[in-house]
Amino acid sequence: MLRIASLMLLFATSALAHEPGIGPNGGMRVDAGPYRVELVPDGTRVNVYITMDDESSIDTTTMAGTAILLIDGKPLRAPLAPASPGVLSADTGVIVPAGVKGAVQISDKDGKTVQAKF
Amino acid sequence: MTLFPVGVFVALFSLFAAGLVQAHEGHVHGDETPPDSVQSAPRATATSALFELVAVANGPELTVYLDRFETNEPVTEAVIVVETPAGPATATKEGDVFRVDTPWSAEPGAYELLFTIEAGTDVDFLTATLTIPETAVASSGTSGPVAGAWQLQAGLASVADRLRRSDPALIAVGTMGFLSGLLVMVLRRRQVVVAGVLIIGVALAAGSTMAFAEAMPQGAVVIRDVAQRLPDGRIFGPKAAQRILAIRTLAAVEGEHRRSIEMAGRVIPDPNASGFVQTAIGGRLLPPPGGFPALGATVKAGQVMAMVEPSLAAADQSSIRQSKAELDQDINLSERQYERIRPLARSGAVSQAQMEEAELTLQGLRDRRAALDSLRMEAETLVAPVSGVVSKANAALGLIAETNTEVFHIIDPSKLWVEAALFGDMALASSASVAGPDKAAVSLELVGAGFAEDGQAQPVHYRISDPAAGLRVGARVTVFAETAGVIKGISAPREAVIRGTNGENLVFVHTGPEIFEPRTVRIEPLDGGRVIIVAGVTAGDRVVTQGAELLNQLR
Repeated sequence: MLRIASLMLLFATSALAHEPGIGPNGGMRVDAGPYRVELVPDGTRVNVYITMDDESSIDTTTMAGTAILLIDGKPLRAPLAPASPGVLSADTGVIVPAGVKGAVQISDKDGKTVQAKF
Repeated sequence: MTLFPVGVFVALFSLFAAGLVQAHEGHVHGDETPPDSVQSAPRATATSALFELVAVANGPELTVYLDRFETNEPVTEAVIVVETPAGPATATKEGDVFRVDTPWSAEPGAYELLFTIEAGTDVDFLTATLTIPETAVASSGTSGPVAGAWQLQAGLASVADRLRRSDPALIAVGTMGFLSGLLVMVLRRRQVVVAGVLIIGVALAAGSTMAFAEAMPQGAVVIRDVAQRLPDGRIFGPKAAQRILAIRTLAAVEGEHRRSIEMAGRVIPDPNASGFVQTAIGGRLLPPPGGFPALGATVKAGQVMAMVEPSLAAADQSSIRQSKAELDQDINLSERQYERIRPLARSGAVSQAQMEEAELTLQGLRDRRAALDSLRMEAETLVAPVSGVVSKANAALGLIAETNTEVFHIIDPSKLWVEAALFGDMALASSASVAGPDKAAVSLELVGAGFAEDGQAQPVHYRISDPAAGLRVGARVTVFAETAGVIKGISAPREAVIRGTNGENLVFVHTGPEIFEPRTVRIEPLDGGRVIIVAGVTAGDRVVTQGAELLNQLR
């Protein structure tokens, strides 16, 4: 009985946690609180695609955030603003390389904050 | 109805009531260790491949401790920017920590923090959640049937416990209840029953208050970071304590190492680079010009160390005196003979050969007499056989030294050997090591092994490769000699392994930023400074290499 319970627990855990990987938009995607966040560099901009954990879409128009990216060995801070449905975007002023290292902090309209590390 | 059963009943009831008052939820009684969550300040921790960060909230400010992940070495030169609920804030350096003003952290809540760290060429992002709990951890005032049942159970348990401990407060309450019961029985008349019940009520209240006052904990919830051993044996070591204890770690790497054996050894001077200054003849010691070399003085090969003025024994002196007298007599006779034959030789009555013979005889006798006269004057010069340092000096002015007296011992400290005793028949590799004075391994080179057994052991000589090792002649050392066998494991410094209370070998593994887990390990000797951990630690574990002994002292 205990064995079955622990097995179930194991499956439940593995179903909950998503491995960081490439998202549907070609960027690195990680879990952040209740969301899944994908960071996609686009020229001098970075687009942050946000979905719920079950990949259902959410309203990002009331969200804001900050992207901190490591470009040329220096951390670069850029404020994220809603760009299109499900996407927050920031203009960094410099070309953002693919696979950029960094972190994103997103807060929703209730002031609840989540963060994702890439 | 007899008096006694009623009295006993009331006494038991009082006992139970006292137990109920004493036991309630919300805080811990007695001297049990309070849970760490109550004692330690609110903190956020984060780790990455490079850094380990702990942010401790002290009211309206955060103290940030930043360390290297692998070594636990504090990082003091860094730029730390924190994304806080009130926007980005840069941490200011204060000694070996960083501080950030965070007025929001005085309010309870969960805050997401994003630290951007720039330390030299290393840039990293660390995310952490800081949870500030409700400040008061008060008793929740539970009520209802479930809570009542719990209190009943706790009350019974408490009474049992107090009976075991012969608690004076409990005995007092019990006695008071018993007396009250007696009082009720005595005053059984109706008009006084009400008064009796009132008296019991007052007595119970007084007794219960007494019990409660005694049972109050010594202090309320105190928030402070104390390094302590958790109930499961792990150590909670706040970063502040880690800094004081200078805890350092090393990421365990598994590798193949030569199996080594331990041998008892002794440091000896290199026989080709050390020497004795000894007297060949007995006599009085005289200093060379400039005096005797002092202990520790550097001398060169051939340098005059001392002079020995030979002293003669009484027998020798009388025989010399006798010889002198005989010689004097012979000289006189020879002189007369020579004087006699000299004019005869001129006239040719005596041959020239006879005259020369007499002359040579006289000259020889005079030389022998002169040699006897100068005998006491010639001192023996003692010179240094090798260059080195005077490590033993027995010279003193006027000292009469016997033959073969060791006046000086000269050692070249840069050329030392180690003599070890090898038990058993084992093939030794050419390299070995001993622990130096600073616990670091000093490497040795095999010179050779003897064939003859010396007390069932085979003598082995090693040359100390590093001349600046600080080892002294005569020092007892443990030699770790490599053998041909190979062993797989994790090498760690000897200081990392400590002895547990029941004799097992322990290492501490840094499992969390402020958590150290003791692990029982099996070790094999590797060299003078390191051991091989063959079981108990897996590759990648951060093993405490410095301060393990101090961590083990924590209770």
